[in-house]
This record gives sequence, C-alpha cells and structure tokens, in this order.
Amino acid sequence: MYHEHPLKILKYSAKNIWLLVFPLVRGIWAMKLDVNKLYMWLRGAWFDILVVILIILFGFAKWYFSRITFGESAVIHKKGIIIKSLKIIPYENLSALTREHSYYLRPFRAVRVFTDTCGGIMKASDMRFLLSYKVCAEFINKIPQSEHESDIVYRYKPKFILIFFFSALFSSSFSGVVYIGAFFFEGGQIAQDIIRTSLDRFTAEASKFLIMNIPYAVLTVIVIIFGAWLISFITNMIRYSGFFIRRYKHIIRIESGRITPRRFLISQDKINYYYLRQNLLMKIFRVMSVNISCSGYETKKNKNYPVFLPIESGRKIKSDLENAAGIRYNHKRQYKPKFSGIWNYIWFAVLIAAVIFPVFRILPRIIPELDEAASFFLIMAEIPAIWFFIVRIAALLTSGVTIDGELIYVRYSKRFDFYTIIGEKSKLVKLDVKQNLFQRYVSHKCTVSFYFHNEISQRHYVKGLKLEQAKEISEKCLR
Amino acid sequence: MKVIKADRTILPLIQLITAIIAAMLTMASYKFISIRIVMLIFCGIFLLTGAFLVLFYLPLWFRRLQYSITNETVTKRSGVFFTTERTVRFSSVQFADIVSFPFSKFTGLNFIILSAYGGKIALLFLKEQDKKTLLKNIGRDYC
Repeated sequence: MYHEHPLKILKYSAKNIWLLVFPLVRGIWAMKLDVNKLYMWLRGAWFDILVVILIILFGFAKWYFSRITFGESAVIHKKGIIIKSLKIIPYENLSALTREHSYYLRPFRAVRVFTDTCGGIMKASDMRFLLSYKVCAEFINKIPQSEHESDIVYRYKPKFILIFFFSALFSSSFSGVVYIGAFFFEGGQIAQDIIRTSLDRFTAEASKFLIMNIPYAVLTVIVIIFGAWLISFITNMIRYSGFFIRRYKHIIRIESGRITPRRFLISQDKINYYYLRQNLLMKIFRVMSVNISCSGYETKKNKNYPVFLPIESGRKIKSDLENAAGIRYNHKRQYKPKFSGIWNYIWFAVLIAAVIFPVFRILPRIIPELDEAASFFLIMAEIPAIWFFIVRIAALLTSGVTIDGELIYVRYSKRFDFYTIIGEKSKLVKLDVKQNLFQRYVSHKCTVSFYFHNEISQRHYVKGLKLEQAKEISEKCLR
Repeated sequence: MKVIKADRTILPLIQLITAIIAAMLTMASYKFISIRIVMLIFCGIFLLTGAFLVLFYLPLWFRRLQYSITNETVTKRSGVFFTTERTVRFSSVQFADIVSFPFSKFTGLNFIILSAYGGKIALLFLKEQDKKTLLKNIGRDYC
C-alpha cells in the first residue's frame, strides 16, 4: 500500500481555500475597530493562522486517506475521509498509462500519472495520481511487458525536420496564415488599388478612414492570426520534440516533449483504430500523419494530438505502418463514390461561395463607408470558399471503402481535412446506411457511416455510394 | 439468477429529510412572499411535492429498484412511471467505483458504479452482503 507524493497535500489543501473567507471577514471587522494598531491585527491573526493550519490539516488528512495499492491483478485507489470510495482497475483493462514529468515537479522527484481504460463516457482519465518516482516505477513494473528493452520489436525516432513540418502543418491557424500570406502578396496590391481609386471620390474624412483604420484593422488581424499560429507552432515543437516510439510485443511506448516529457504506454489490443490525416497540400505532396484512437492517448487533459507516426511519405507508409503497427497498408479503394454523386460533396461549398456575393452587396448599403472596400473583402472571403470547393472535389475523388481481410479502410473528408480510418472488423460497433428522399427515389445513392469502439461516439462516413455497394459493404463488415 | 432488492433501511431518513426540506421551503414562502395568492401557490406546490415524494414516489422508487445477477450479467430495473432495464455484461466492465457511507453496513448506503464500454451503470442502496456477492460475480479482481 502506498500514498501519493506528499506534494499532493498542497492540491488537496487548495480545494479548501474558500475557508479563508472566515479570517477575511474577521480581518475586515478587526480593521474597523482599530486600523492603526498592529497588535490588534496580531491578536486577531491567531484565528487566521488557525484556519490556514486547518486547511493544511484537511489537505494532509485527504492525502493520508488517499491510498494506492498495486495488487496482483489490479490497481486499487482508496480515498475519502467520511465517505469512502474505492476505485479498482484491473491491469489487463488499461488502455493507456501516461507519465507527465512537469519541470516544476522534477526537483521533488514527483510525476503525474494518468491511467485510462476503454470504459466510461467521457474523454477524461479514469485515475489520476501524483506519485514519487519510486512508486511510479513500482506501478510500471506491474504492467506486463512494459519496459524491457530486449522485447522491442520496432523503434522509430523521426528527424527534427519532420517534427518541424508536423508542428507547422498541425499548428492551429495554419490555414489562416496561408490566407494572410495571400492577403500580403495579392490582397495588398488590391487594397492599395482600391484606396487609390477611391481617394478621388471619397470625402477627406472617408479617405482618412480608409487609410488609417482599415490597414490597422488588417494589421491587427494579421498579428493575431500569425501570433496564434506562432504560439501553437512553438508549443507543438516543444511538445513533440524528442518524439520516440518503441513497439514491444503487446505494448507501444511513445515519448515526446522536452520541457514536460510525456511517456505513454499504450496497450496495442486497446487501440480502437489507426487513422491517417492529411490536408489538401499534404494530399498533393503525398504526405500524411498517422494517428491512433485510443482511450487515454487523446484525452483533453494530455492536450496532445494522438500522433503515432508524425509525418510519413507515400513511399514509406507501407513499410513503417507494418513495422509500427503490424498493418499491411492497402491504398486501393474497393468501393468508391461515382462522379454523378458530386452534388453530395460540393453543395455546402457552393452554398458558401454563393452566399458571400449577396452578403458583400448588402453590407455597403448598411455601412456606406465600406462601399469600395467591400469588393476587396469579397475577394478575400471567396478565397477560402473556393479552397473549400477544391477540397470537396478532392474528397469525391479520394473517398471510398476497402475491406481487406479483417481490416476496414474508410477514406473520407471532414471540413478541410482528409482521413483514412484503418479499423478491425471486430471493433466496428455500428454501420449506418442513410438515404434522403432524392437518393431513395431518384439517384439510389446513400451515405454509409462507420462507428468503431470509442469512448465517445465518432462517425466516419462516405457519401455518394451506390445502395448496392452499401449492402455489400454491410454484409462484408458484419459477417 | 439471483434477484437483489434495494436496501430500504435508509428510506425513513430520506423521507424525513425530504419532509423537512419541504416544510422549510413552505415556511420560507409563507414568511418572505408578500403577495398572498403567490405565497399560497408556492406553499401549496412545496407541500404537495413534499407529500408526493414522501408518501408515494420514494417508497415506490425503492420498492421497484432491483438487480438481477447471472454469472455473466447484471440487470438493473428501476423507475416509477416508466420502468427502465439496463443490462451490463461483466466481461465488458472496465473498472468499478465502490462508494460507502459511514455505517453503511447498517444503512445500506453502498453504491457500486460499473464503467463498461460506452457507458456506466450505478447500482445503488446495496446491502453489505449483496455488494460482496456482486463484486464476486464481476470478477476476482474486484473482490
């Protein structure tokens, strides 16, 4: 039986910080009586000190009654002073175990440990501890085949440049920066032209508005988007630098991060599915990122992408995926949507692109000062709309379903990204075939949705497939 | 198959607490609401709800709460107006939370929350002996 690291007393104590309300009220009351006399405050301080001691004692009691036992087959966490709670997780049910070595915990030889199973309804860790290195090592030793170097089947450490590309591509507002880039090089000229031609007609005040205000507004947007991207990029670089993956017989160990190193032990049997993620540029250059869906490796608490192989080229994906996951990658599409199903893919993009025109025609009528600038903003708004349209066309040409032995490949696109799901038949929970009225009576097409094991229900869908194809897929998948 | 009924030892205490809360709300309405008709409406609502809960709903809810255990599954049957049946296979249970209140051996305030693939099931108000039987059936890891 073990206790958590004594640092946990502080966290438990912090929960009772509200008790400081009492000394605060008392302090205010005492100040009113005699503000200038320090001794009066000191006389009153005994109560404050008592409350602080009580808070720490409460924290200590909570820490003392929080006990961890590493049994033969399960980890048991007992806590509670009055209401006792016991959490039991068998080792064989653990899907992921995460160790987070925060820089401020390292001097105390403390480590945060998160354990997860496939159970529960939320993307949250099932058990969270703050442990000393010694107790953590004891825990790790209980997990079979976790860290014996001789058992390593495969190891892979991506080059720094790959991590750099990965961080750049998956930093949020990346697309925003591409857009801002276009704004600088193309839109900048358009903006200048607009200002120049409108100077003749605008009043002095209006021209002042255009010269002073719009560039500043644009500059602010640029700074915000670029700043957001830069922060995200730096965070990703720090988080994924030192990325290292080792595959044991049943366990996959992933390490990443320099300032806060995170070590994940993932049970291979508990991986729900693998998925390849790409955006349009990556698709064109045949580059992809391999991720996994596994409880514990994608929780919000860990704040990480569920990366498995950060950046893979089209040439290497087959061999790397076979070595790292034991999957023989099949790139062919067995069932694919017909070109006649194009409307299923593009209708939303067409709608957005079409709506932008009337919006920027109406806007100057409401704000007359924007009359000339409206056409500039119209062009800038159309760029992502057209980009989205191209993405939808690419989605039509690349979506599809493949059933290869025990594996199901689902290729589809969501928003601006492209996904290839690789899941086992045995982990397919539900398969939906949906038709709207038009599809039912006219086109005889449908949308096939796949749901695999997951803590939260996640839909992977292929649109525009023929109904006969859907029936065939359903038969093959559920057989 | 073994059928376990919820332990009703704690029911009088819950009824008493509910009655006290209803009485306090009624008194607060009487004291603080100045418009007579509104005060009467609120007093009536609190009194009727309290009486409904204490005399009808809680006893019936406890009476209908039961668990059926086989070697492979546990089924919870509950509900007053609408009966709900929820079954969990022991093999799909990933972890268990066991919550005990002070004097739970005598009050039946023993709860087991089973987390399985895609959901949870809460087994409430269990006798000490029933709690042990259930944990034994789930698997030796939980005993």
